[in-house]
Amino acid sequence: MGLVIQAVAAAGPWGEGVEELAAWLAAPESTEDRSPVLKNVVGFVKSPFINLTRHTQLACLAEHYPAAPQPARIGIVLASVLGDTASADKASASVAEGLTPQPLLFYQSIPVAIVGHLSIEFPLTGPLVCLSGGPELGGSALETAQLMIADGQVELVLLSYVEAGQGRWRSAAAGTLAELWGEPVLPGWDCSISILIGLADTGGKADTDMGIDIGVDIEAGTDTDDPPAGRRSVPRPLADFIRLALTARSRTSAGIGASHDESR
Amino acid sequence: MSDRAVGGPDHRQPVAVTGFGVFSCFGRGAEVLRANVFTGTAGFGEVTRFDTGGCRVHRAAHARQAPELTVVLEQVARDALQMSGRSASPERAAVLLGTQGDWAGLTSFWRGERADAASQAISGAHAALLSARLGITAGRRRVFNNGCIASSSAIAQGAQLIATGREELVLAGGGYLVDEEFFAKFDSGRALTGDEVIRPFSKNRAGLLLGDGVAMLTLEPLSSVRRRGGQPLAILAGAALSADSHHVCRPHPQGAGLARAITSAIAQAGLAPDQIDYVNAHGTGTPANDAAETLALRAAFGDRVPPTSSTKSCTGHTLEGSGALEAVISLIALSDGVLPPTAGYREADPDCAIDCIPNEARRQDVRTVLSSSSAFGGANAALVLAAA
Repeated sequence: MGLVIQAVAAAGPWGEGVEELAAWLAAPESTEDRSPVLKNVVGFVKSPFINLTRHTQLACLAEHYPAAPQPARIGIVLASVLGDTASADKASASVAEGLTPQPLLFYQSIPVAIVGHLSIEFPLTGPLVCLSGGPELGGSALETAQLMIADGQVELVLLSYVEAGQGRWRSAAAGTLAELWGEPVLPGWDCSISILIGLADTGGKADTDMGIDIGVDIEAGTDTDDPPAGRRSVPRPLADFIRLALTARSRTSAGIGASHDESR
Repeated sequence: MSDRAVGGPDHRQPVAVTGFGVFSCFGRGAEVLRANVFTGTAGFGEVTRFDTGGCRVHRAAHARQAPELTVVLEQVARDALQMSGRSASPERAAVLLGTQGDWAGLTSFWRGERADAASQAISGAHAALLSARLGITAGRRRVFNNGCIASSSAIAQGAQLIATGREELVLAGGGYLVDEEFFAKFDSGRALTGDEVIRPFSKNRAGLLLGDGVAMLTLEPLSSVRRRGGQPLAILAGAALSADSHHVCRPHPQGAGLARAITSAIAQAGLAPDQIDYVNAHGTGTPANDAAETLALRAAFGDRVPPTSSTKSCTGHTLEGSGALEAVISLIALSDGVLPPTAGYREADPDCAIDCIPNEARRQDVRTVLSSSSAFGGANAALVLAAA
């Protein structure tokens, strides 16, 4: 028994979509930046992290649920090395200058806030988990999703990776993290990949050994000597999410059942 | 209680809690926690750790010293390992933490006091830093930053890893130490009370106050503990998370999401609601939380809500550390047969009509405890601990 990828959405310098991501990976480093211009999320101060998170999560859910959404037992796992630094930085700078930080920036800088927002918008009632970490982040997020499903808490998990925002703190943190782990863990661009995964519909209940066999190392992240595709060097956490996204694409194109309709 | 009586479905092996370490505003260790929280002594005082001159509120429950989070995490992890009887430096262990990192380091960065980013200011680095400090060379390293359910989430996942045979030893917990930045943010959001203390479940309660809280548990398969002749402190029998799907920073008015987490955790433990002896509530002391949590408890337990207290009335709200700190308090309640009180309680509120153990601890046989937590985004968590 295993898990299947039900839907994928990706947005970043490649534009939007998994095909675009694959093409971007194969393209020279100098490829034009096609990052989508995204709407601000109502109720949040403008933040690329917030906008990208919501955009790919909603796109992923819309692919799986083309009709009007119904309350669903879906969990969310949001993985990000640094989270919403754009929102956090504004509040931090205010405090450092002795000014009163804007409360909204505080709320939205906690990553579970935008995840909670999506859970209202869709609506979803499963566990809301946010993870940070280093090279192992992709494997950690995938296993967290697996455990949610194995536990019977949810039928589906929306698994997202987001890195976004620039600035002094992020640049400094990128250097510190690279030193700590001996390799870069932050991409140099804003991007998000969301993947909806669930049990393969084989009629049974979850067991504890299921997994998506895509070579993602749960403890350490996958070896970067084995890049997902193409000519670009991407840090391990993003590389593992790209692997997941491209796995779904290859399975769908090969007709072996990654799409929602086929799996039902 | 037998191994089969708690611990969930048959294919999951029971999860034993074998040790803990704890740091709170009262200092390090269980004894100071026992001496204060279990006597209803609140730890609030004027903030001396940093200047609160620009804030409306000037009180918190912080320890006299200003320790670094990485140092305290190491201390409590070592205390937990020592209590468990395991090696002080196991070769392999999963390290799961709930933390937003050490924001004092971040404030230093923004003040220009340092140009580099201290690794302890980065939340995602903490599990790796702690593993390295403990000499642990293998095992999962994870940092949860889903707000005030972060360390509950770490403990819940630790239980899953043990129950499914993926790890043999898990260090799970997390922490928060009162810092200038979060204090200013909560103050600007008018979440802090201007009262001397917080008064959970009491009429005219006016908000929360922050506190220091860092705690770690060691989790192991019960069968392994018994094989080596060890004595578990308790069984981590159930754990569940849920979403309110209602509001980004206000609880569901009926407590619907929290009720789901509580009900699921009790069911996973293989217990009926009337088998829970005590609830350690989230109980922040805000008007909205405590009323919603009361309704959540009524939804989960019906008319027989167990005695329930908020120990934040003594420790303050320890944010990401609260789930782990309150799990430790729950373990002490189990071992001592004493229910800690809700301190600072003044007057009954019809919106919080539960037995909240007002002001006086209560001696009672305690076999099972439920600990609840909630966070921004409408995230909820519930843990069930049972006597071994």
